[in-house]
Amino acid sequence: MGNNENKKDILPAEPSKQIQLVVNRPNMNETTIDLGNVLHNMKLKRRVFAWVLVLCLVIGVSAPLLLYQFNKPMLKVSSVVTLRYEAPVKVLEKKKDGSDEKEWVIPEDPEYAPVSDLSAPDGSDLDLNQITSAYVLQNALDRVKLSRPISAGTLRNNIAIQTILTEESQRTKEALSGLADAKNADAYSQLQKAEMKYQNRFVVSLTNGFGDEESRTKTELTDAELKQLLDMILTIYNEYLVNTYADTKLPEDAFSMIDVTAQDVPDSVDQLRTGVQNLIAYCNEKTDTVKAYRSWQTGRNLADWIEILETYSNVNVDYLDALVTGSAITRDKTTLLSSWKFALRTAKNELDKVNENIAETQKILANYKNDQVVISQQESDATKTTTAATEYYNKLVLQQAENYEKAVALKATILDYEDRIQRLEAQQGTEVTEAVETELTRAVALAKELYQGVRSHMEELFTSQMYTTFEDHSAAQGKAESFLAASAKKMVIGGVVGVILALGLWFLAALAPEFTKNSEFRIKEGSGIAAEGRGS
Amino acid sequence: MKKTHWLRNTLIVLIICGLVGTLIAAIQFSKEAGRTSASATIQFSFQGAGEGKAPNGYPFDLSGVTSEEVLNNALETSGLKDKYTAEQLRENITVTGVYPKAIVEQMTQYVSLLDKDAESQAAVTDYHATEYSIVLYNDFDSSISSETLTGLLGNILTAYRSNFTKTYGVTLGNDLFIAGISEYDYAQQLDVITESAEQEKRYAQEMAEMAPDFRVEGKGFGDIAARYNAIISDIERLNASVTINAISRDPERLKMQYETVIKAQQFKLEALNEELKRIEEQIKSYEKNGIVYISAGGEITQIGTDKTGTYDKLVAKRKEVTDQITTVKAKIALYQGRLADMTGTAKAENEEETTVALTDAEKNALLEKTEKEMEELVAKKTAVSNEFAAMLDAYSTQEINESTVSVTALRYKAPSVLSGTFAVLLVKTAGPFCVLGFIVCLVLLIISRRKEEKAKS
Repeated sequence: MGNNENKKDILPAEPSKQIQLVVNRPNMNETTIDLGNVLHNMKLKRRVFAWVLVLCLVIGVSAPLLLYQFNKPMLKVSSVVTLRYEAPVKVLEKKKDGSDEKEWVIPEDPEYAPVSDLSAPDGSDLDLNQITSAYVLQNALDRVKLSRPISAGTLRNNIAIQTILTEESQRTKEALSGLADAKNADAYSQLQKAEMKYQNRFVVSLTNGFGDEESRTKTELTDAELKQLLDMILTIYNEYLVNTYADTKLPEDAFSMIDVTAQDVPDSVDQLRTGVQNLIAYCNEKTDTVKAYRSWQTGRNLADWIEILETYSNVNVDYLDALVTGSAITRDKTTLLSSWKFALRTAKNELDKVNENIAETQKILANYKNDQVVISQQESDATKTTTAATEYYNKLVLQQAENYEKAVALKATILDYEDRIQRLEAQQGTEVTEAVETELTRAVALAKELYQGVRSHMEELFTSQMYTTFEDHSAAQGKAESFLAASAKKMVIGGVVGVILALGLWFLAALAPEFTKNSEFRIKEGSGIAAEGRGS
Repeated sequence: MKKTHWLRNTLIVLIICGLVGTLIAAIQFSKEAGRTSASATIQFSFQGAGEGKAPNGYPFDLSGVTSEEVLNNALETSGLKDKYTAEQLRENITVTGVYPKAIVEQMTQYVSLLDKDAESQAAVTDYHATEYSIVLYNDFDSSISSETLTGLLGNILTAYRSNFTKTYGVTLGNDLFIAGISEYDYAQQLDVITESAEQEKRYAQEMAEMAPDFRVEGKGFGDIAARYNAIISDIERLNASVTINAISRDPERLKMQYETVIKAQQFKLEALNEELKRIEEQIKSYEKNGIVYISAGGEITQIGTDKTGTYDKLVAKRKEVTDQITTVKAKIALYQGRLADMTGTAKAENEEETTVALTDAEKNALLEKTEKEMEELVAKKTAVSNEFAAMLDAYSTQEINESTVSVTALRYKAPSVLSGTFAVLLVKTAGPFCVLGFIVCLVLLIISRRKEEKAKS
């Protein structure tokens, strides 16, 4: 474009084509800016401002991306944990301090049911802080290979645990909060005292970016590592629960101690019987769920083992006992007799002691006065009385029942010993034959096999997932948005702002020469009037 | 600045910025994603897998993949037992459940809002992954070849599948008594077979409930249970013959056993009766709380209840003792009956039956017959047990095989600059440099254009 053309361009337009822009100026009557000129100026400056437009657009679009790089939101992964074990069923009782308030307590002989709140397997409140304990976190860190090292301390700061109220408690809380907001004085105290119940599940979240609160640079793990770490923390927490609460006591081996050749035969048979009975009692103690577990090695469950042991007791121990007792088989009749007599005396002494306890407790119970409660009514003089058994009275009653049980067991033992002694004294002792020893050896070997079977079954059970899953957690979830998707909205806004800014600058740049022209014109005009005045 | 110059200069700046960014991205990539790995997908499609239950009905997870047994087996199969340890492999294996997008979204929503909507809760807490991604990273030997690493992971998964088949399959163990059954007297032998048949029948019934449609050659677990019932009927018939005819290898010893058991149970009964009497006295004398209801201001208050449940406990104890007495009495009756049959008292008491004693020849013939019948019974029971065991094996094979526990997408991964990860890193690192360079170029261009404009005007 030539200079002449440029000069033509800046010539004023014809009056009919002019749009007058009036700017209120205090010292001047009026100032007019020709918008056509402004647009014309814009056209003239397009070669510069087209690039300014591009620049602003680029800055507007790329600024959110750059900002994201420096200040990106940290990924938070979460996992829902559900408790899966049986816990004692609590009952609602009045507090022992005599107040009217009630509390949930575990009864002395509780029933067990799948946990429905945040109770530990022993019925106490579950300590969720153990999730962030040094034991759990350090073990988790030791078992996961991370690209960047982090300490248990910094890891702890990024873990959050959210418990979930039951629907009923949630409603109570909302209702009381509403009243509290309305400045209801009672609502405050009720809100503080309200017994809130939680669901048997909670949410654990782990946020990326590890380091002190004050430090500018945070250690970042990859998304996969973060999920893996949270999974491991919850796996270790499950192990902690199993180690703390699971009853992993194995049955005691009473059969390995039986020395068939050295011990007297009746003693060995007694030991066999006691061992089998203890093993049956051990199996019987377990819950129904545990009893029903079928082994993948033998296809048996604990209920089957109980029946096998009972059959063994009948067909082996009782049958052997019949032979030993019937023929008075012993290595040394005198020693055996004195040993049984001693055992009889001990049992009798024990029974005397228990009987004494029974008599003493009976005396106390007979004279014991329970609390008498007198109830009077406000509007009438009539009163009513009732009795209330004290805690001590109830304890005595139950203690007495236990005493009876002990006495019964001792009495049965005494009768058994008396019978045995009587029989042995009536018979001439028979030497232990090879056949008896062989049968006893076979019985002991089978007992050992049964014991090993129960032990293996329990070992398998203790390592099975059915027994070792105290908490079941969903896989850690949480997805970071891609940096483009996360900044898309900001990029659009930035681009638009950039374009508007560039257009504004363009317009102002086109407007500025018009102001300059006007002021030059006014100066010229002013100086013309002055010259005219001087001339006149 | 002329247009061509500007374009050329901008291009140069952009290339330099891009190169610097690429270099930084490459350094970062080699530092972060330097680990080679082998990965695979394992999928479970047997019945119950979606509920987190193994074919035997118990919960399962993939922790077995990193078990000592599986890793050692895999190392042995790969011939790397002397080179690496199970511990080294365990540290480098990750197992991740693959969740469908919808479940992930529901979970994220649940977590962020703690949505108490039942459907949301069910999806979040009851979903069990049936597909798992398994990655074996190579952090233990930089010289390991891609084939060896992939082969090792393949062997780990093969070993795991065997372990899974074994651990979550169903099986029938050996009969503990059957090996030495001939050593026992007939009555004991019958007790042993009864116990074993009853036990296996219960197992067959459980399996029939779990897999009612399962069939092998037209037979199901229910049919096996029915066959055990038939054996139990045979046992009862033989038992009647053995008891009534007092067939025994050592009648005196058997008689002694019955007497001893009866005596021991009678002692127990005597003691239990005494305990029952005392507990009843306790229940009678127990001072139960009086209960008074007071109505005031529309509210009913209850005063006095036995919160500790002592009275109820006493009643429960009474029931327990009564139950024990019933059991003991039944046992006494059983053994007394057997004893009566042995001694002939029962026959004498029954007028309709003849009390003719058996001759020695008859006794021997009966003994021989019993011995034969017993052998047949054992053989019959063993045959049913074998059939049951075979059926359990078939069930395990049907439920756990290559199509129900399948391994797919076994591949080797090495950090590559052609990978998507590198592309993202490149955009993230080189992008800002390029943008910055472009902005600088634009600023310079604008300045030069401005100068041009000024010069023109």
